[in-house]
Amino acid sequence: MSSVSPRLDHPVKYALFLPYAAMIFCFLIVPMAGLVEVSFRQQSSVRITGLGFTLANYARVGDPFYLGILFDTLRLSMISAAMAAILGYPVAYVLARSSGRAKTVLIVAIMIPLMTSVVVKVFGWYIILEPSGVINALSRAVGWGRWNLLHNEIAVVAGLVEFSLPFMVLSLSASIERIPRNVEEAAGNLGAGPWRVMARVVLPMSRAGLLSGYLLCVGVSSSAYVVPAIMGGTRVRMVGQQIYDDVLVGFDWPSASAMSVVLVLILSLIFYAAMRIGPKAA
Amino acid sequence: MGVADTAPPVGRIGTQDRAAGAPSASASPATKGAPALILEAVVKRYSKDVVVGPVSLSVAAGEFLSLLGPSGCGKTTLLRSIAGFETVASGKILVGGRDITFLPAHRRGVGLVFQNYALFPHLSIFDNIAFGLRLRKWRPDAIAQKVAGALEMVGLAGVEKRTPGELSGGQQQRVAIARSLVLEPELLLLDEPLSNLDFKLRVQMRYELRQIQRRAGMTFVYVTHDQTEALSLSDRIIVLSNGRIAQEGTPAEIYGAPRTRFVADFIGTTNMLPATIERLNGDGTLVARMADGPSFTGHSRAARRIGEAVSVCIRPECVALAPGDEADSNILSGRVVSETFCGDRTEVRVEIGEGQGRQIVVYYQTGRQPVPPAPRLACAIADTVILGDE
Repeated sequence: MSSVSPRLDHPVKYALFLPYAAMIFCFLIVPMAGLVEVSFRQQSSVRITGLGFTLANYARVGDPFYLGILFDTLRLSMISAAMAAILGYPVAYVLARSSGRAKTVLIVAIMIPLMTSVVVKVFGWYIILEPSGVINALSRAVGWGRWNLLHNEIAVVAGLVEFSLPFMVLSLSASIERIPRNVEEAAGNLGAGPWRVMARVVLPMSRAGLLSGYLLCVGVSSSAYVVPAIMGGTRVRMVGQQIYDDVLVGFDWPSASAMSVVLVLILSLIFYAAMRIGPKAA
Repeated sequence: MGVADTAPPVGRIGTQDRAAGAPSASASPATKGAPALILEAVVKRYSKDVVVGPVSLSVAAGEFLSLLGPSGCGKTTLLRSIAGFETVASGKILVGGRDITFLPAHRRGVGLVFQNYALFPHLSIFDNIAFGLRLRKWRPDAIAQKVAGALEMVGLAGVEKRTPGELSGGQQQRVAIARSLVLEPELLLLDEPLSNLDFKLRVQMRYELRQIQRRAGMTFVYVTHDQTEALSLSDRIIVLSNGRIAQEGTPAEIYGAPRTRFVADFIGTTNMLPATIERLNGDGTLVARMADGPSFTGHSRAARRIGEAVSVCIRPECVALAPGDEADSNILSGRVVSETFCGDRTEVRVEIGEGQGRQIVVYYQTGRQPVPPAPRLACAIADTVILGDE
């Protein structure tokens, strides 16, 4: 496909990056540097950002309790990203292969949850799952008794899947849209039924979109706070809650910073490795 | 580039080396002798509009048939209906005697080669060609043998490990053909397979396609809007216009004896002059006269009445130019307006009659004597076809 956009070979084209680069620098790079700095300080009752120099905050991350929280965070994020992929793929395919009014309606339907506050969505789950909620009311009505449906990992994963699903669908559908219909037809013509066309042509050709959707979902889920806090209660703990508690309950900014830095490093490493090893977009 | 676009060596896809018990897309031999394809009054509608049909046609086994027509005439829709990507509103489609009208596309066993090749970019050339064989659960050693045979047939042996993106357009199209040929379909449909190639390659691939078809002994139904392609490739041509068959016949019949003005105009270049039927000769020829102009003796496929308004079709290569100012039976008098050198020929525009501005195009082959430099020329017409409003 020949490019229709004008080619900018002039050095001025780099100037187009300036506003964005400036914003990223001021509001992401600089605060991150501050975070790294704070993470090496000792907690102090005089200064909230700590004093002196210590490696103790990082040593604390190595403690089995905190390592467990990190591990659980990644585990739950990856499980929910996988669930989002399974639930989102059919939707993404239909969206990619629709056109006109149907496509507009679908996109709006997928975007609405993104525009709704996470708190609202999570309390929606709460109303349904809580001990006196809809499901338990039904369960008691048919004589199955009362169940504790909240404050477990399944509830957290359910919340995370709902939270991250739009990212998966949009990323996948952009990738599926680029697969020419002719290629699907060619597979059908060679004898592949609809399921085989999916398994042997569409799925492998959308690997890049699947990977980027997966990474996006892992990213947004592993930094989630509201979902694990409400759906998981005190029983399921993710990094977001730990950092929140360190900052607002323990007033230990240095420890919270170290935890944040480690989380960013781990995610960056995963993303980098996945992009290097994984399939590239055509 | 490692693999040149050269004529392929002679090779044949073996029919005897099938994996034991492997199911085949081909029909049972019981239907041998039946036409490879029959369409019975096929009609295709979009919402309420009939876009194709009713079209009825029959293609003999081993025949190379072209569906020729301008864009929008329904030729691709017809082809996609045969492949199963469009559902027909009514009519029947039979391949090798089997009614496939309502079979899903993947169970039709009809090959289709797409204009944009539609190769699988994530698979190697080998895996592209092996795709259909694997679906049919062939043994790996049999697959390897068949793929090698198919690549040899299209003149691309040795590219197995590459991916489609590493091949030129011509090579990709040959892989697409090999991918369909390897399944030995009773019928191979080709949807303008050469139109994405540049001119030189297109002409060469034209020749090679014909060779491949003969070698494989397969039935080809070829869709094109390029009349040169259709004329040079086909055993038979079906000209489509507005979703209907305008004419069918051998390339020579279609070119030499067009049945309607549309066909005469669409195939090749034609000078069409208005005239009136003056006399019906006993030998099947008739005489038509232009308004205050010369008369022409020509053939007509349909019966004509004296006084009927007709068009006299004159092919540009059927006109000989000589100095002179006579206008006689089958001779037009005219003045050269322009000469365009086209390499193998010169296209001469001649204004005929006096000041009516009517022009005809005459082809003058390079290498023959030059166009006479006289101020007025006598244009002797060798052959004409007389067409009415049908």
